[in-house]
Amino acid sequence: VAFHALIVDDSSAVRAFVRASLEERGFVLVEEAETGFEALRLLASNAFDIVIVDVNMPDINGLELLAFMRKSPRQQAARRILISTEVGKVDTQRGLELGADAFLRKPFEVEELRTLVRDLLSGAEEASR
Amino acid sequence: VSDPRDNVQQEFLAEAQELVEALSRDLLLLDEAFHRGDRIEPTLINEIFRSVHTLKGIAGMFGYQHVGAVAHALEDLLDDLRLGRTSVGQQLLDVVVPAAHVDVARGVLRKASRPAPGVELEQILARIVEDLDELGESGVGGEHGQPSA
Repeated sequence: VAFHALIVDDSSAVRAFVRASLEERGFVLVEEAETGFEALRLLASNAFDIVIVDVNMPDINGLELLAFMRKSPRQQAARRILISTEVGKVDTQRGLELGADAFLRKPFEVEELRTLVRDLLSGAEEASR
Repeated sequence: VSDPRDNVQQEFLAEAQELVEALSRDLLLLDEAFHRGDRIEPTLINEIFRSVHTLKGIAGMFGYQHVGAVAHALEDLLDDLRLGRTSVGQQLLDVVVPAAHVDVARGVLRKASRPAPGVELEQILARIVEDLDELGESGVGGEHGQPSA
């Protein structure tokens, strides 16, 4: 497996969708976090290539996780995708300020997710050369 | 080409079922509160909105467009309630609360070995969407409406 991803969403169906979409072709290994707290624990101990995070979560929201990632030495190379049902202007602006590389709007399609992840990861590879 | 969603249908069905159960419980609470003349708690409206909102998102992602359409129409109406553009009233409750809707939703999910609902169910769902849209356009919660917030 070439890349290591984290999906943070309180919906188990969304996590399963992301995992199935990205792992099928074997180039991304996906870890899951159901809550913001669980995500913090994983982010503190693993370096991810890509982190996909839902903006709306009951404990620590997606924007707060982006803020944490910005300060975390382990996550400096990670690409960040923020998921929302309605990409509101406020969330988008705040997401950009906090280092989001891209936005996904629910409901999204399998190919939309794959293409976005592929593009971000190939950009990351080129940047590291 | 295989659809990666095929392997995780059960995840969708289990979560959708939970959301429908929660929705059913919260709508009955709303109905009871209205008929007792109690103040409608904004947290209850928000809970209902959150269930519908999540259901809409996952239904769309897993290809259950008919479930998503009902959730979308319901979400629009609930958004009006949340923002105080309409209020809880008998007319609104008559469309939103009936147990039949929950039975329809359960039926959809039970028969959901494939996303296509079948003609009869499709007609029932289309009618529910129509009723919800009509109510949303009229902008009236009901003759005895009371503010939700």
